[in-house]
Amino acid sequence: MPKAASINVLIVDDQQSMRGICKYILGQLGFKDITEAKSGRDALGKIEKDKFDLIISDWNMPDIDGLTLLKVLRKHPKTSKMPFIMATGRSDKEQVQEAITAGVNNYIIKPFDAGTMKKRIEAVIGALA
Amino acid sequence: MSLRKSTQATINKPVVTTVHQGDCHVSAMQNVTFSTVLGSCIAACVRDTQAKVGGMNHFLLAEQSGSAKDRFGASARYGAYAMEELINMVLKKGTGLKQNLEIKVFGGGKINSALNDVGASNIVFVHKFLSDEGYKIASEDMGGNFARRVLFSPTSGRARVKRLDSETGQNIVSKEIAFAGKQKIAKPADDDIELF
Repeated sequence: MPKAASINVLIVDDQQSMRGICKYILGQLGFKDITEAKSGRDALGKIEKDKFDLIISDWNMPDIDGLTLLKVLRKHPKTSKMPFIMATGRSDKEQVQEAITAGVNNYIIKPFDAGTMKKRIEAVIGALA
Repeated sequence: MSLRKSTQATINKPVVTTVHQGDCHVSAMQNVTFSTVLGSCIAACVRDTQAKVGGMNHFLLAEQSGSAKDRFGASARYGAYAMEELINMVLKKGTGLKQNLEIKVFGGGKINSALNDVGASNIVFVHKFLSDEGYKIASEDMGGNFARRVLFSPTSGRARVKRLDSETGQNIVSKEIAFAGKQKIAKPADDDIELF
């Protein structure tokens, strides 16, 4: 059973407010090792340098969006199995199928709460200790 | 009238779209005007000045306060999402460049003196959100002890505000609070698609 505190999470969102909310909720769930990226490009730079146990990414972002980021990661052997949760708005719900095809592990509809986030994370990495 | 002329006349006919609490609408049509009535609620009008695309949202953060915890509370999450949804929709239909966005904000009135100043908390939220995200407010009409009707043209960016009388304002605030009370923060609709 994975311990939240030992899991290295990367939050990718172009909005500082959303990164703050996500970080706060992850903190509530016991996560401590949290890195933030403000775009898909920024995320790729961070993923090149560090290994992450979980990525939670926004869909709509300037430069590289969440779906493109996911596709890029799935193409590389080093990151092809990196757990990836897409955080998306209600209006993007029909696009979820596209993300599934691209290899997303799970998704979460905004605005979300800690309970929903926990459920989604546990569906991907297993029940948290 | 020929079919072509008739079609053109229909396209050019003025259309007023009402933006209700919880709504978010975006358009690039010149004949469209967004209309909303605000008590303590906030409406943001966001327009891509290059693409001539704009939109309006309408939201109320019913349980905001200034504490650090509530910065990320249920209301703040809802408000941040409401703003993100509008901004993303305008970016998607427009140039995709944040520097082209022009933002105007309205509402946040304190109509009922017996209630907490929900309007003021909403004003604090929207100012902080826009400042955190690096946006400047092009114009605003917020606060005061009256309700407002706001009309916004999404292509020209022109916004008109009419201040409403106190009786109308009282009715509006009662409806806003009742609506906000019914809202559940992400008792998500996502549960209707279980994928994994």
